[in-house]
Amino acid sequence: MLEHLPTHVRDALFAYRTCEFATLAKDGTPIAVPVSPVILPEQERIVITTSIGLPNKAFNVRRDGRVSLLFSDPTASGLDHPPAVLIQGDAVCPDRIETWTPELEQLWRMLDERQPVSKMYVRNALTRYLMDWYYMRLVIWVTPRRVRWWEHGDFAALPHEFEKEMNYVG
Amino acid sequence: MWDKLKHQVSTFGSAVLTAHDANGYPMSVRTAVHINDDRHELRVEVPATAEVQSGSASLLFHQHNAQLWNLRIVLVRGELTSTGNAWVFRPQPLAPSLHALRAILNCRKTATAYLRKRGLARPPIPWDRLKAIKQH
Repeated sequence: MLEHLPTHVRDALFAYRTCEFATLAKDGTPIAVPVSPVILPEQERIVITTSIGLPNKAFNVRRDGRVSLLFSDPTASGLDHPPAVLIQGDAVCPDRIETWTPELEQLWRMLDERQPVSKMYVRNALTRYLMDWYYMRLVIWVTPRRVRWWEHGDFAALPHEFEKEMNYVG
Repeated sequence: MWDKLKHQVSTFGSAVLTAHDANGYPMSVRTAVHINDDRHELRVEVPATAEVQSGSASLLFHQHNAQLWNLRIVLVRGELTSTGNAWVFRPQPLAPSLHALRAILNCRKTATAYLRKRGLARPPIPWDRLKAIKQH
């Protein structure tokens, strides 16, 4: 599905610095938090990771795998009036703590470029002591099932849509 | 509580409304937020095509600068209701905000509890690999 999205929509997914990742909380309330996703179109998956110091979204996914990701804040994306993109899908989150995987390496390289201040987390013994929890990650694997987008981020307009069977609704 | 929330809302240009869709999946749209000071409610703009359902929902206000820093995040839980020609969000009280150092220490404590509950040792962090990325 991700591989078959129009180019400008795929470009937006890679260029947005954050997306709003929504899970269902214990009481069923849908809760969104900003995250930096790793987009893996060749695997038809998106990776979200979270520290074990902030595990609630992982706990939510383990209870109920229904999730969504909204790409709606183009700040620093370098794109002029990109589409807003909503991806809904099914997620899993193994109860396994990772400190280094290919996806994490991709995330750290991306953040090094996009969030240079994060260099301070590894700078010295004190920051490494204070921030070691940040690098103990839980990996959330999202398989998209439905993608909608609003051209130019205009939510008043009719959205375009892709469903899992690749039915394009213009 | 309302005054604090009202002040926070007024400092953001828009918010992300997250609610259920007809299939029970979460879904989000970005919306302007209009304050109703008399009723202590927020009016939000939901596209007719969004398939949003009334019920428990949340509003996320967040922003970052060009270097993905100066992060500001405010999350408000509440109840979303359609009044026929408008959507109204009734907020719950805001959770208290924490000083950055207190927030870091809380995360450290949560991580320690996560490990302890599973009988796991603190995993070694590949600092050399991380530093190599950050020193390129």
